[in-house]
Amino acid sequence: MRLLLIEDDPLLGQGIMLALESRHYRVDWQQTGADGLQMLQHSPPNLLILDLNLPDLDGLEVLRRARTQNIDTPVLILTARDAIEERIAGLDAGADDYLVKPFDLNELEARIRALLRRASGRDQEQITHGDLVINTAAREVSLQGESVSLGRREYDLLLSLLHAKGRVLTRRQIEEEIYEDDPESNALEVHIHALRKKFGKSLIRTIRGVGYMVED
Amino acid sequence: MRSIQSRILLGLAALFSIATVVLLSWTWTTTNHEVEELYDASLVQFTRQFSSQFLVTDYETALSALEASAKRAEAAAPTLHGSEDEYEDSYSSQNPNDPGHHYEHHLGVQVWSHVGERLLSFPSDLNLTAPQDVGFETLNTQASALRMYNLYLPEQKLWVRATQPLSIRTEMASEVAEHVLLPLAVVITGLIIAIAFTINHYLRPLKQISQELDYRSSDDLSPLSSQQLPQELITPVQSLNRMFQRVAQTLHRERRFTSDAAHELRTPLAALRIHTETLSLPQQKVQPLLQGLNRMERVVTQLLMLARLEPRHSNQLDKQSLDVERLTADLIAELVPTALRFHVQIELHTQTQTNLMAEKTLLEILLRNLIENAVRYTRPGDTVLVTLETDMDHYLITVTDHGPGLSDDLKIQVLQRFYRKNKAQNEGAGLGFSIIDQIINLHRGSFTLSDTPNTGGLSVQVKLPMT
Repeated sequence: MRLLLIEDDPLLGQGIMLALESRHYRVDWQQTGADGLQMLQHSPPNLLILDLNLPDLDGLEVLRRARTQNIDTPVLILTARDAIEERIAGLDAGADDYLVKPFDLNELEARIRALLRRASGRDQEQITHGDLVINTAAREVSLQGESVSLGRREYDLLLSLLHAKGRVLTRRQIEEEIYEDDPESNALEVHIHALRKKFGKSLIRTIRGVGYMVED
Repeated sequence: MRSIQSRILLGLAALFSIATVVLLSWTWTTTNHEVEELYDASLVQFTRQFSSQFLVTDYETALSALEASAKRAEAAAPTLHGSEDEYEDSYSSQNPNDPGHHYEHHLGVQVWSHVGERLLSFPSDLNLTAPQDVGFETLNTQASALRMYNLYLPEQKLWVRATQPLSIRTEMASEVAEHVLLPLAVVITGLIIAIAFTINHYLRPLKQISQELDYRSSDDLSPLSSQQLPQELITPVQSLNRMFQRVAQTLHRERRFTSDAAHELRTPLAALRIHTETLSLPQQKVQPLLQGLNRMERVVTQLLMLARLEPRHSNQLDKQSLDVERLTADLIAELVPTALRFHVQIELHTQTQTNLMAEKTLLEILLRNLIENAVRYTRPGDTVLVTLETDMDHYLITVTDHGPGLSDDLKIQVLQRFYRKNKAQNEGAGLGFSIIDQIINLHRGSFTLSDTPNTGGLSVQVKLPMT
């Protein structure tokens, strides 16, 4: 996987590059917005890690220009400001996720993995979680090599949870995503119960009153 | 009572009172003197006129004529020594054909022979001794107070004496004074009232300024309007405005500094952390470094929150109707992965569907701090409970943990900024409760710290008014 890092602070840039390289990512590091944008155009990476506070070209501006040129590389924003408005501005400009400085390496890597997974999910045919394998093209699920048959809703639910691996999906998020045509339905618990019966109780963790998650 | 207005009024009233007293006593003395002169003069004139009738006639004729006229006069005259207040009334009712004047009739007249025989007395009950000397004489006994004038006619060998009660002079003088006093009192009272209104009117700009200053919030540093102000007020208001401006600039600089410093610290902190995490050192050597970093990061984050909170005021809140359950669920979803790393679970118990009027960003910071604190200070393996409920007109948010809890002393200390529960452990900055406290105050709510029943641990209950 090739990542592009646009970060003007030498100490932080070097740190991120070293850390990610030690975890077997290839990292290109640019210190200005202009250089970053140029590299983004000429050799698009799998993921862009973008600092918002750049000396020449504002991070948001880099993002906007890239998006207008139809570069759809997933973008993770790094920001020193945690004001809600800034996060929203970043997401509005086309960022896929944001991370507030300072962050820990595990968090950074988890976000990178999730973004790459989400991006590749669009064209990747196979998602694995332990001994659970999903073939998204054929909508087939197998556990320890044996095919498991799932209802349409059960399959959608499992896929959403696996895409969001390591994060909690709130009940409302799930309902809006999967049960949008039937908002009054009480089926979420039923489907969770069914998935647990088929794949074991430990697959999905309940966050009571909040939602569900598949742990990383 | 120490207002300029009441001082001016009191001062003016005192001055006017003194002036009135002086004016009145002056008038009284002058009037008294003039009345004396006037009555003395008329007494003399009367005596002369009366005695002139003896000059043209002989002694015997004069005497008989005197007696006849005295009898007539006595029939028409009021009692001379009756009650002072009554003689006006009694006279005016006597003879409608001759209304006269109420100051005229109090003259008495006596004629004595040169040997001291009383020949004539009007009124007849004038009980006087024979005249000795020519000129004025004043009799002041308990029965009567009289002013007299004695005249001796050497050719007729007669004494003529005219009398008049002294009371009539005092009466006259007091009446003059009375007539001066009333208009004076009316005019002065009116003047004081008019002055009160005028002062009130012209002090209004001053009152407006003090009201404006009184009602504005402690952190409102906008300038006062100096338009339409009287000249005397323009200068103080302008210097006040300049001071406001300086304070506002200082405050602004200070906030900017805190905010900028915190932001500037974040990038090097992030660099420090990522370098630390990639160090190929044994875990126990890296751990203290990471703990120090954690603490610094938290302090920086909380300083930023405080910098954002402190300039705020309750009436500047951007309140909106909030679905607290959704907000809390989203927040817990965000915090769970970190909590699970501490082996702490978070549960949400919602017992209300009511929305709450609050500022979204602030409520988020509040909830985040409450839950993060609980996760941070409880024991691994615990479950932090977040409960949302409502009573009559309050929204209640309770965050309960079952960890070591806080002693009562610590509950008090916990509110003090930079206090950390156990200084050796954890990386909390102790600013957490200070932030919580401020957000709750901004929303005019309250919060309590109590022990979790049965299991022990800390329960924080936040009570916010629903609107």
